[in-house]
Amino acid sequence: MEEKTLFRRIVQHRDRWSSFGSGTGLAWLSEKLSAKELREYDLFKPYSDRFLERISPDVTVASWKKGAVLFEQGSYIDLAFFVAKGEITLSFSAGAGAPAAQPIFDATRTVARHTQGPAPQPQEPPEKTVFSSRTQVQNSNEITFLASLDVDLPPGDLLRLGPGEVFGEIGALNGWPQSVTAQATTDCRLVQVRVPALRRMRERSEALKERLDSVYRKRSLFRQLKVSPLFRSCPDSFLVGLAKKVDLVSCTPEEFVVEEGTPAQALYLVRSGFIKISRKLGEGRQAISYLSKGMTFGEVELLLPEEEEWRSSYSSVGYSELVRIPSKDFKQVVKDFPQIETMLWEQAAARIKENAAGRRDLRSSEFLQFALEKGLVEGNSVLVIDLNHCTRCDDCVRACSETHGGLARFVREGDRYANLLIAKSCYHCQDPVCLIGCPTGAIRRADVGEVVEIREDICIGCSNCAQHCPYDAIIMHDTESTWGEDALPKSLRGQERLLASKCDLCYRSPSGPACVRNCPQGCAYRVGSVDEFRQLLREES
Amino acid sequence: MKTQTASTAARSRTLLAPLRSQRWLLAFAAALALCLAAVVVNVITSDFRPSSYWGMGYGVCSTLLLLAAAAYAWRRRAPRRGPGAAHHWLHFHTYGGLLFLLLVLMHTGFRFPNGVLAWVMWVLSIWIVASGLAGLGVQRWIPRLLTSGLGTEANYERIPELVESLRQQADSLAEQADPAIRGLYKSTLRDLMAAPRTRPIFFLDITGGIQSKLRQADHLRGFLDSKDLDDLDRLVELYKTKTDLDAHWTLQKALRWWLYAHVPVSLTLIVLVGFHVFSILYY
Amino acid sequence: MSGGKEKGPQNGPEKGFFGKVGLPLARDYVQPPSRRTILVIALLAALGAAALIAGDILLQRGMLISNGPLSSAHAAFEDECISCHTAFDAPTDDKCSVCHERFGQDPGLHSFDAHYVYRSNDYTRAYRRQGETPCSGCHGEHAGRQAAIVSAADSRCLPCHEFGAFQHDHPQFDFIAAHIPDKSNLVFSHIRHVQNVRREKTVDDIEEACLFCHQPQSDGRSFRAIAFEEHCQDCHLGSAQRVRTQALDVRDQRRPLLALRAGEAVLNLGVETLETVQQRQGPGEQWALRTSPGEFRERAGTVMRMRVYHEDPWILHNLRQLRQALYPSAGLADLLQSSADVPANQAEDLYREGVETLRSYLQELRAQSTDRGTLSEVADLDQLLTSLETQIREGDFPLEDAPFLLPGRVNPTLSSEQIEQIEAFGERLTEACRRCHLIDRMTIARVQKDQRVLRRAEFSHRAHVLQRRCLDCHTDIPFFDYIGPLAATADSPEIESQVDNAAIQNIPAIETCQECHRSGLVSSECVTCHLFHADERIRSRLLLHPRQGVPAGQ
Repeated sequence: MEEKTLFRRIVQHRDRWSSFGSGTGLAWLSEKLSAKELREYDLFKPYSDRFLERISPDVTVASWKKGAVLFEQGSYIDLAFFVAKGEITLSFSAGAGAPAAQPIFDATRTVARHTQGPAPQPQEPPEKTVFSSRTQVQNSNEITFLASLDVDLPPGDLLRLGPGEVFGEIGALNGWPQSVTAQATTDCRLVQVRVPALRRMRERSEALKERLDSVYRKRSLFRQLKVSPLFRSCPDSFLVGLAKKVDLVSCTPEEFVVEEGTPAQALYLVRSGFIKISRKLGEGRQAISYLSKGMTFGEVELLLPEEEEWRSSYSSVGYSELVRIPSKDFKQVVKDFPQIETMLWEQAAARIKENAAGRRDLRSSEFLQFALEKGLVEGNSVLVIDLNHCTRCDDCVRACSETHGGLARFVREGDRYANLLIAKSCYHCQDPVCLIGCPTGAIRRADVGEVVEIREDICIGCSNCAQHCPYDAIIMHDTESTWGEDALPKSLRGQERLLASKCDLCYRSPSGPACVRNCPQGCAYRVGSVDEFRQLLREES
Repeated sequence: MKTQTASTAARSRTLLAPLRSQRWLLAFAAALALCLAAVVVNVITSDFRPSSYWGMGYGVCSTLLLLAAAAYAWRRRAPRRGPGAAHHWLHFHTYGGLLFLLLVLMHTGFRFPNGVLAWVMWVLSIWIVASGLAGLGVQRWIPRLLTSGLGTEANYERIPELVESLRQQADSLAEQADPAIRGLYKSTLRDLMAAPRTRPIFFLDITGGIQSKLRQADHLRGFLDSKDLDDLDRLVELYKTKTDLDAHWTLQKALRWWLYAHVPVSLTLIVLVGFHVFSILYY
Repeated sequence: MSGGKEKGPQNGPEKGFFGKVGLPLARDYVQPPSRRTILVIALLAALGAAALIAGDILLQRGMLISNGPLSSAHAAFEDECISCHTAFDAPTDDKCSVCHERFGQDPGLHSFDAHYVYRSNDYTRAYRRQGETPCSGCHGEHAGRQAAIVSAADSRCLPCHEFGAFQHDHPQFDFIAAHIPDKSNLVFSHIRHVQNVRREKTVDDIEEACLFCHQPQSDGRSFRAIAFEEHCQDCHLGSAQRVRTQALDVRDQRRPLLALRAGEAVLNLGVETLETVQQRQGPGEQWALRTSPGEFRERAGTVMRMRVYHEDPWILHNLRQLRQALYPSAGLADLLQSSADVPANQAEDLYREGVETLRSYLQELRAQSTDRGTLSEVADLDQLLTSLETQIREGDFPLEDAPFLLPGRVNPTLSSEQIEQIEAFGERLTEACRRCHLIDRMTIARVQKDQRVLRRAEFSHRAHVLQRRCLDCHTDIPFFDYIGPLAATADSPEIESQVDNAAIQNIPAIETCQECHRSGLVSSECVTCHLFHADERIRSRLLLHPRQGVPAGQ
């Protein structure tokens, strides 16, 4: 009995890492590690036993053979790698320079798929690979990406990482696709930490945060500064200096970056997440606009001599990462590079105008508030139903149910804005908070694109993800069966078996989401951005 | 964000394409023109009656169209295996159905048929297309009515439960409220809130004439203190929500029930057409 | 439920359960009972329909199967499908023929040759040939009790006969379109005759005057043929007006009319006297025995026929002799009273007439002869004539190859003076005839007595004369230009000069018909005029002749 349980435990542990186990490159995968075992690695030394036990399901140690491809450019992974032994190279893979558009439903690439051979040459200057992963949308319904630039890597060059180095964490923490391909150049041993654990570890340990930040500074910051429109014209030497001076800021949901009325002392550059701009109106705050990746704020306050204080409040919508450029350095930049000042003036003027308009236009402000509250800014693919045409036939739900073995994964109800209904269906968030706290790792980014899926065979029905989902888009289905006698953890045995289920965009089906395809009125849409939503509103009104 | 606008617009246009599809309309117009041409050629060259080769051609075409249009029901019930997007099927169903009627009329030579069976099929064909058009009208009209007129949105199947929960809330509210409010509730509102009600008035007035129902409550306001006013407001709010649900109940019922006039008749017609085809082949 | 201010159960504490309502709903939600109900109702309705059909079949009522009530004539068979139908086939023609075929009917009567003809006594036509239309092709049943099964819509004809509507696409009548020569072969003036009739009978109305000669047949469809004895004799050659011939030279009875001497033709021009014929008693010369010598007056080598009869045998006898001299290769016309330049469709009559003449010769022979050998030869010849008659009746002989007239080649041995002499003598001989008749190549041109000119269509005067006056349609002869009220009438020289030769062109062109026969007015269907299964009595020649087939575009 005990042996069998152990076996189950191993299997379960393996299952959650199985996306890396299918390839030939993986030589060995550790079982669930105890706190003691974890402490063997420097990384885990500062933490308490209890903490380590809690995060251990999300940590594994793996041995990779020489030449194994850990992940390819453009893939989503939700874990960071710490090199314990051996050497890893990061490189741009083939076609990286070309807008690495990766249609989600055509992609068959998996993380551990092995395409052998030395790293090929990049084909276009990295300027073309823009900072934001979502600035270009193909004119089709398919959801596409550009690999974001995590790693500052000169074209054609390889980055070699030895023991003690960390990689993959930037994409993982920010929910971005990886910008490089990682390959093992020697047999190596890696500590692999999933995002929820990584986030908690970072919260607990200042040292880790600093370490990650420094890695970020070293590898990515320069490049991000370089490709941001603001600093594009600055010489590299200057940017290298600047990169050393800036602060990296991480924000939790709803956290204020700056508050209206406090002294303005820095320019902020958004690395990831969303920043809501709001202003006091009466008793509350009126949302004026929001900022996404690559945008800056603070230039107005810093440039105008009479503006000593923040004109608006800036708060993080979800988790977000920012770069803070202190006012002293900023002023230096402005002094040295007049063209930047011009550009900033232009931006500032536009911002002032936009904010003023946003403030005057209650409707736009209402919409923004709604979009930020209901997470439209987060969503990569939000199911929106046009109620002006919807005949309430529920064919969409039925189609979903048919496609997913009789269990519908959404209901045709939810928040409504004007004539648009945002169904309670997974948004496939850019930063999926549902991933946090899954004890088994059943919920994860699918191997394809941005899809977040739940693996039914691993899910134990704890409903953590459903609790975490801010949009109530995860449904706990009663499977009308009970857990068997060998179920793990033991507390499950004999219990009613629940199953968390959520939209997986039918990514396995070549014809796309069944709900959209089966709407007889053609009034169900998958919306990928706020602007698309706004467009839909405009066309339907 | 600004860089997205152009491409987004393009994408949204494709998003909305199915609703404003000119292509189906064009195809339908082409088919109409084809039918017209066939009629003209037929009248010039040959006899315009069911048993001529032309007439049989129309008959065969309309039978095929009937089956193809009926296949939409199958497509709706097979969301996974069914080929093509459902809205294309609906377009085909609509235009194909109209074309079907035209071909039936061409088949009978735009005359009233003689035989009992033929007569029944003729009437059923017209009934089916007429009820289909009525359904189309209902489907265009009621969703807009529901969306623009009501703040709430409810799933039809869930309305009884929601109403029940509203009633419980109202009951408990009235229980602890001022006797005057309780009296009002018991005398007028409770019966109205007991169960979902189907009221045709919603087709004409989406509010269901709620203001007149609430006149007593307004009258009561003058006699209540602020706490009781709050209770009254909550009660009125519950009642308003219930009325909205009634509107959903009534109108969504219409959205579902017109199918009763359409689907069974269609199946009957298919059976009769099958027999008709058999008897034509047999005799 | 959302969007409203109402805080419904979906905002309850538990997430992930469709709100508070829970999962059983989810199943109802996906498969609502209404979907099942509608299917059940649909199946019930379909079953009901199927049951109705099954009942209909089992009870053999055929109420559903029948595509409509049968026509009144067939109403008795309403419930007896098998009296016409067999499984997996259209109603066959032999089912129709069970009732509709009677023995003894003219087999070719029922249809165009190109259409299916059911002939009970023609085994070669017992089955419909490919491409031929079955009875049911035109006579569609199940069109309602009052439906006219007999009439056939134009649309049944038009697919094969490439005409459009009668009022604009019907071709012109043949005799007008093709300018078929008017060969009534009479010297005649309608105007003069009408004028005379009016005067004699004191009839004011022109059209009433017409009826004195054009007498309707009993069925009123057409008019009796004009016959000399009935219509002309009162005025012409009657006892009231004795007509005599000129004094004609009597030829030398010992010599033939024409002899060859050393390659030279020698004429012995003159008539044969009655005595000569009586003495000879040749075949076909029986008339001489019945003719009184008192009707002749001989004087100084000439003879004068004191009274000329219609179809006078003595004149015809001498005319034939002149003809034989001028055109030695005599044809069938030698057997006939008059020439035979007639349309092909009347050729049959001429043949019959020729055969009759030959038969009368045979009878004369039989009456005169007692010789066994001769008698048996006569019997053989008689048989030959009988078979010839059969052949004529069945149209089984080459009409085109048989010239009715003389070939038109003048005897080559005659010199031109001699020819002139013969022709001049012929004119003198036929002076009395030529007042009304035309003489062509020494024969009296045959008078067209059949006035019916529509060969492919039926026309009934009776149906028309009730609504139209004769001259409304027959407009070619300008009666009104010359004829005024009877009282005011004075014969003008113009009337005397009016000769219309009884023109057939007096028949109106098709436009006259189209004035009334058009859509919205008088019926203008094909079968209005072109009877398909025509009755023998009113049978019209729908085609010129089967052998000639359908002329292009007709």
